[in-house]
Amino acid sequence: MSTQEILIDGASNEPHLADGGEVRGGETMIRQMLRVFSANRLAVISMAYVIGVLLFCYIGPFFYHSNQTDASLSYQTINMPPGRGFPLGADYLGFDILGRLMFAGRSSLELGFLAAVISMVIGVGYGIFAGYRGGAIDSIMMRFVDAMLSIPGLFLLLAVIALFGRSKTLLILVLGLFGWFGDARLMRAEAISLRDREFVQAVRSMGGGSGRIIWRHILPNTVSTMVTVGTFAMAGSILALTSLGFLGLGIPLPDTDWGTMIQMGTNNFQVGYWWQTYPVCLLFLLLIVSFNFIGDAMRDAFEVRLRER
Amino acid sequence: MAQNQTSRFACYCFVVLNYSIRRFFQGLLVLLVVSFVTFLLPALMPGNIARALLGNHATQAAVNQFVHERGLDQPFVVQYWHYMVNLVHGNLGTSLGAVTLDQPVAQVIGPYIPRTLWLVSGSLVFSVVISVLIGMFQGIKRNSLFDHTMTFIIFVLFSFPAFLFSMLSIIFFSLTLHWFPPSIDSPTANGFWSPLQQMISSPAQFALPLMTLTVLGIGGLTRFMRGSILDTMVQDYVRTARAKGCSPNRVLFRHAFRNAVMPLITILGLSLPGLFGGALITEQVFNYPGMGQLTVQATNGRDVPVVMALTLIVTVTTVLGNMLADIGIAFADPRIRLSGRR
Amino acid sequence: MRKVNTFRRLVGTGLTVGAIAISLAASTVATAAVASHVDHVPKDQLVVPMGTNSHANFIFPYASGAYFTTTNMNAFQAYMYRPLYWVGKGADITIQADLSLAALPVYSNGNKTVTVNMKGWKFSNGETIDAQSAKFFLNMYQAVSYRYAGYVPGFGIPDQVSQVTASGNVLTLTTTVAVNPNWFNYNFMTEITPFPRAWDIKYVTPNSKAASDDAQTTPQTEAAGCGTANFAVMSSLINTCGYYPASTAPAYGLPALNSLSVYTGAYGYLYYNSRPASAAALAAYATNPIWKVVSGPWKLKTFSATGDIVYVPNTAYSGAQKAHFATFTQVAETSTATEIAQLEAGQLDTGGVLPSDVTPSPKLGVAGKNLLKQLDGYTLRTGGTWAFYYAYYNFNSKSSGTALPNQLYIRQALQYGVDQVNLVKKLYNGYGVPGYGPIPTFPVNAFSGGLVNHYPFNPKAGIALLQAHGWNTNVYPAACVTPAKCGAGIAKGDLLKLTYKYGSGSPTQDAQMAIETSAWTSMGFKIDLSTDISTNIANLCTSGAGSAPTSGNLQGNGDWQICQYGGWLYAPDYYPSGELLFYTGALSNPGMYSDAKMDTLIDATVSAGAKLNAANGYAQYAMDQLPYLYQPTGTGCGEVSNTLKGVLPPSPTDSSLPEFLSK
Repeated sequence: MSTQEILIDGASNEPHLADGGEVRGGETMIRQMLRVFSANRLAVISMAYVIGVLLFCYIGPFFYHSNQTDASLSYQTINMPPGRGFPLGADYLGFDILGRLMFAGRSSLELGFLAAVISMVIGVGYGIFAGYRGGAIDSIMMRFVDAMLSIPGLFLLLAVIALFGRSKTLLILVLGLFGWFGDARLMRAEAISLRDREFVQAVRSMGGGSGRIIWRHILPNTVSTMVTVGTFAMAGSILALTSLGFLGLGIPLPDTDWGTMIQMGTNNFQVGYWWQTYPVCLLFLLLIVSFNFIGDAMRDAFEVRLRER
Repeated sequence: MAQNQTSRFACYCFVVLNYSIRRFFQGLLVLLVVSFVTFLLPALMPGNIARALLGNHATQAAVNQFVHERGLDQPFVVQYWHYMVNLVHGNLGTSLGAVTLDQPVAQVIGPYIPRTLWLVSGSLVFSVVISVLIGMFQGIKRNSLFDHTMTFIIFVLFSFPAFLFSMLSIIFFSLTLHWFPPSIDSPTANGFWSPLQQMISSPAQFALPLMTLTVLGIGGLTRFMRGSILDTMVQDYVRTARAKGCSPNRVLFRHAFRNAVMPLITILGLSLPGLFGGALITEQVFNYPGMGQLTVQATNGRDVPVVMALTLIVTVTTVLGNMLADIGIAFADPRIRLSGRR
Repeated sequence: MRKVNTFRRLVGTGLTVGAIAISLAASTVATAAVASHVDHVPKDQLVVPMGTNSHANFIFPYASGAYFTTTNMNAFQAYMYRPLYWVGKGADITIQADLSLAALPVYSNGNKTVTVNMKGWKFSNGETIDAQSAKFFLNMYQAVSYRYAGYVPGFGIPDQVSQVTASGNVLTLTTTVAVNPNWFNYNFMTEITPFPRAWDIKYVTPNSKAASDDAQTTPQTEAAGCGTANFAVMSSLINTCGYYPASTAPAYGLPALNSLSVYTGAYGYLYYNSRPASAAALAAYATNPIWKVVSGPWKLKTFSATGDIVYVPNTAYSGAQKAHFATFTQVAETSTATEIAQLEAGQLDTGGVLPSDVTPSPKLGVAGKNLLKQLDGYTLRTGGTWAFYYAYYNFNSKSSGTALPNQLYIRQALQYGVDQVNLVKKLYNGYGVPGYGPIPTFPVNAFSGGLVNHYPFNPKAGIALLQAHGWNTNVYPAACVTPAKCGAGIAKGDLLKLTYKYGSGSPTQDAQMAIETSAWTSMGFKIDLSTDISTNIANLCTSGAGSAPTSGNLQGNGDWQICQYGGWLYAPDYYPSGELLFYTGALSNPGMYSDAKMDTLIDATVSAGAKLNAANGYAQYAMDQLPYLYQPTGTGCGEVSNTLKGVLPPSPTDSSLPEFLSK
């Protein structure tokens, strides 16, 4: 999952880092980012798609009403093909697929977002601390990260699920608590490169404490990396969740997620219920591709070099 | 002159050996951490493990006996020590699955290991060949239409989740075109070589799974290869060779290629965890009873010892792969490695 | 007596050949399968799948809970080691005289003496299957009852038997009370598996912990062994048959501990040679001289712990129906999808399909058609199941505010929310039958006459019931406003909240639970659904903090309100009397249901001269009082190759008779 995007762009040159002490007003940075970002047509299209999916999932239900919770009402329409009242047909429980896409999408997006936030918070804190402290502490902390990174992610997730079972909360925690190792490595590299820069040295020589340096000087300067890493983290956790769903280990009923939808759809694919598979696959695939394009463009925009994660 | 060479060689040997030993211990350290995690996780499992395993019908005496027999009443450190001693002796505990209840874990997972290893190795070979070729031509024909098209295609393929790619490949190549079967026949033999024999005797069955894993791998590798070739082309020795009047092909293959491929080996090692994750999905989709499929089954059956053992084995393989890649490179080209981090 | 937890009883269900997975098949990622080539199984071979994710793992036909599975008993042991009385042939679920090792028992002395005349058939080593062979089993049963999962404390064999005598081919059992012959025949006599004298070897337990060392486990032959010991004299049984120490017994379903020191006598010897904990013992199933002595029509050719199992005919089988095939192979299946692919490739003679791959059942017991073109060479079959599916309530809930299941009206309201008819029609694709009580209605049987559904789907009636008992259903979840009406233990303001735990792994079951929960929600219930693997359910939803269940008495632990393990297959306890499920303190009554009237009614059922009927007696009371939440029963469907001849109708009790098949 997260290893997928690691390898991209492995061999570009030294990073160009924005110079400066405390970061100036956010506006210029955003404007600057927007300029570079908007030059990338694919990224703009991708961004539009992601926003479209967000609107679809969150605003859509206001305009398109469908029963997504009461299975006792829906099961009369089990496996209905597309037709009147069911533009995209019905699923194995009889729920309307179009509405189901929104309903499942909300779970997938929210879960992905929360997991990404958890992993970002841990990863950023851990990485910056290790990088800033350096020395033996850094060494020990990074060996741990190395070790965890060498456990294939899906195996680790399955191991945790085998132990603790699965529920919505647990999935968020699992994806968050076991998803930050790559982020930590990146943030550490950022922290190391910032640690020795003049403005940090200057603050230190003026007697600035470590906490202040990290909080006021290092963190703000890593925002660009954080945003990029966050984008990939979000895509990664959604993808991981969907993979779990596909393996039959997704969010249990009455909730659902895209992965579970895909899994249930594939069970019925052979007998020709294509509407249970194609729409959700397409929606999801485009979303992941979009996330990757956006992340890529952001990296260009921030000129951040993503080394090996 | 001759003496100078000898001493330089000795120095080279020393440096490389020194590095290899250091790298070996680093790998060992990683494994130690991982084994600690696989030891610790079950201990964090909610509830009393003995109760969970024996059921509530069991008497307190039975629980006590169970706890005592498995050494669960001993101090944490002692338990970890026993766990490690057992690990070293290849004893991974006994299965808790309904079908394989009480059977030694090593015996349960044994037949599954070579299947996944061969699948992953096979796809590694394909991804290296394909990505080296594509990446190199991209590097040479930089910014051409070919370059841009390939970059885009590879980016999209690379964004494909493994399960979607394998599913769509079944729908397209199997259901629509009828080129390949959509699943692999259940293996009939359990030996180390039997998966390879099966691959050779019925290649069509393995076409789609191998393709899925290969596509999963080439995305990163191709991009890396392209960048690597570009980097190498601007190196001094290439410029020198070019200035000396070597033909562009000669420059490319004699000088740039070799130096560009070397770092790829490291990347290969790093891509192993992702590849094993991909294999897990692929095996599930194509019904290949490898470690991945067993992991999913054991997870569904909450067969914790089996899941933990599989996780450990996959990780050991990954760590070994990384280590071998690094040491191999160090031997081939000490310059690349020894200066850098790790 | 056996719990089943297959909701979609797909694989091999209803086939004469083929095992039913006792554990829930893990939900498979079913991929479309197209056979690249279609061939057929050779004429002299029979190839059938094992249940998905199930595999025989215990050969000794005397299994404790964990190994007391359909896979082991019906689709493995029964091919080789025949019971005294064979039940079930095709759709018939009665004792089959021609397949049994003895003539039907004769009851005398006011139904207190049971006389069995053995037919004198032979084991494969030439030994006669006589009364002593049966007594060997009975003696072991008496000595180590708790190691046999069919044991019912207080009822039948061995607890209600005072004396067993074996003389030549005549076996006589003396019971302590007058028994209902039908009940005694179907629930106890059918479980007796005669053992050969070749098995009557004593295993002496070494004192040291190194019991697993082969060097110390040399068995001792003895002149007077378990088969000849006096049934009534416990000390002689302990010496010769084995003894399971009181400190660790009784442990129902307890996984065999690694320490062999607890096993002694003939039982220890046989268990030792069967125990799955030893790779060597498992690998030797086909070569071990012990297991080569068989009484059935098949013997093992090769056995693999995770792979295929191959049988060859036992040429010395005494029965009329000899095996036709040169080899009979059970193929290990890792997923339903693989099995379907193998079916499509013509590599299997029988197999299971997903309900979505076939057209709906037009009528109960009638199969639809295959939707998959590749399955043209197979015929879809379906049949009844001698089982009922249910969730059980915790009547002994200790946590506060959870006195709800104790109230009959709550149970009634919940039952009103289960739309069984439509669940079967829509969700089960017609391959199922509604269940209203402990006696199955399909297959049609002698006991189900006059059956009425007391609580048909009717959420409105449920809501009315709640309101009549002091609940405000206008708020969600509903709250108790008149405690006097709500019942004991329910205070004003208590909410209508319940937890429901069920077995994971079946999408159909997940869907069913979602549907039922929605209906209950609309009535004002707040149901917290959770899943776990079935074995965990069986463990978690039972007793408390490990008090010794010496009298078979279990304690509810209070952390659960409703649990569903699966269903109850009446096999090998074929007679649907309720002593195991409904009796106070019964082994399989984990919710501690206790009702004096129920106990009296069951006592009447098992005593002499009783007539069992769904419309009266204990069964009628169980339908009325709802000690369990009744759920529909899936009947499943399976494929049979058109090349097979002699195919019997699907067996409701999962009895498997491959010797009747030919090509």
